[in-house]
Parts: sequence; C-alpha cells; structure tokens
Amino acid sequence: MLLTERIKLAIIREVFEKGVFDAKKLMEINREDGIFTISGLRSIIVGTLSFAILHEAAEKLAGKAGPAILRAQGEESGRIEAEEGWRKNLEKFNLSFNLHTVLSTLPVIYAAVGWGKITTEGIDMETGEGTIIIKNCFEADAILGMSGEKETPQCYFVTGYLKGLLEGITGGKFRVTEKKCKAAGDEYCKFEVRRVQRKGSLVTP
Amino acid sequence: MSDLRKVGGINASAAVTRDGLLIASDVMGEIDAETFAAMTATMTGAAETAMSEVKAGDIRRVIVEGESGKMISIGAGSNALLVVLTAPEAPLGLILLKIGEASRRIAKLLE
Repeated sequence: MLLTERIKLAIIREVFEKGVFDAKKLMEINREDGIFTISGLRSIIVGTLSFAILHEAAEKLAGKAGPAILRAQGEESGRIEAEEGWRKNLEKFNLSFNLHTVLSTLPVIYAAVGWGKITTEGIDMETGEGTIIIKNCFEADAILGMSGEKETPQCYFVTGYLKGLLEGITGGKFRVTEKKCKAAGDEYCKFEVRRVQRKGSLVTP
Repeated sequence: MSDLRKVGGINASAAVTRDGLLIASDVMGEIDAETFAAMTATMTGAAETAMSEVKAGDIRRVIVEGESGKMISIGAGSNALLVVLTAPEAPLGLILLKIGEASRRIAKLLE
C-alpha cells in the first residue's frame, strides 16, 4: 500500500474517532415541505425497533423462512452501499476501493452512525475471511428491546449486509454466519466470514 | 444430491435450511444456489403459514407447476427442506416417492 494511502486512511480514522466528524452536520430539515435530507439524500429517521418489527412481520408471513427475507434485504443494502457509498467516497479521496481500505475504516465510520462498535481485526485483509465482532449491534439491541432474549442469533439483516458489502467490494462470493449474538445472551455479536465457490453444480459448503 | 439427478425428470435439487440457507445442491450453472435456497424456503414457509392461518394443518409438500417445469419442496426433518426441479412432463408419482426417500436420508444425516 502506498504511503500516501496509509496516511489518508489514518486521517479518516482519526476524524471519526476524535468526533471531528459529526453526522448531524450533514442533516438538513426543510420543515415547510416536510423534507429531511442527509448529505442531500432524502431520508427519514426511524428507530431501530423497526428492525424488530420487520423480524416479526417476516416471521408472520414466511414462518421459519422469515430470516431469509431479512438476510436478502441486508445483502442488497450491503451491495448497494459498496457501490454507491464506499466506492464513490473512496474515489473522491483518491483511495483504492478494496477490502483493506474498507475494512480498516469501516469500524470508525459505522460506529459514528450508530451500528455498534465493530472490530475487523479478525479478518484477513487480503481474502476477507475470518471474524467480525460487533459490540452493541443495533439489530441485536432492537430484538432484545422488543421481544427479549432469543435462543438463536438474530442479526439477519447485518449478516446479509456484511455478505453483500464484501461481495460488492471483491466481486467474490462469501458466506457470513452469525456465531454469537447479544440477542441470544452473548456479550457481543460475532460473524464468521468464509469465501465460497461462485456458482454451479454440487456445492457442499 | 447427485443421486436424485439419476431419477428421470429431475433436473436440479437442493437441501436447504428452513430459514433459507443452502446446505448442499446439485443445480444447473445458471441458477444461483444460495438465492434459490432463500427463495424456496420463503415459498415453503409462506405456504406453511397460509395453511396454518386457515387451520389446514401441517403441509406435506409444496408443488408449483410452471410452463417449463415443476418445483417440489418437501420437509427433511424439522430444520431442513429438500427442493427439486423437474421437467414439466416428469412422472410425479415416482418422483414424490424418490424425494420422500431422499428427504428421510437427509433428515437422518442432519440429526
């Protein structure tokens, strides 16, 4: 990695860690028209409980397959975020769009917008395999708040999001599995990331 | 999975968890097996909740007939499903018998 790139990444981490970046500064409210924007994008603010409500609705409609709907939603969001968020912003700062740059800045950026405290140190920056830990994951907290502790991991949206994000960055195929979950009584949420073969016949993961 | 392909009329098959994750598959190149797993689990789950809503009891299988083929989903124990794709003219009786046997084997493997 180039020295200038390393310096830029360090600056980005500092900016977010020291609180120089303030998400509120990007928000604009047009009370007259009832329009709220973040960085110029039309937005609304909804509580994280909406995720818990989505969980319940998906399970009501699709039974045991409810998690598949949430994972699909997360996966698509992650893929779009890789392209529309990460690629565009990294290019703006003349930084490479790859696993290393994304994973080394992701924890501070996502913590600044409320996803929880993310650790990517267990991930191999070249292959993307390993473990990602999220303390105070918003989805787990939402489930705990709405319906209490569950028997199995519950962060379906985040699981799908990480998969979509990693696939959007690398063009490869990943399997993300939540091994520990705060909503299931663990101290934090832990996601195992593995690469899998792309497509085709007789897949035995 | 590959044994099922030997049954006449079966073109693809997959074992998936009831919450939509792929366990194993024997699918054609153009099908994304993971997406297929999520879709078929959702289809089966929705059928189960609909039947439960009208108090019609547990479902035995879901059969969807299309112009170019049929899709059959059947339970393989409490946590998994077996899904197969067949040719439109495939003999349903024989296929149901074979996938019934296969689903019991899968259920046993996953115990």
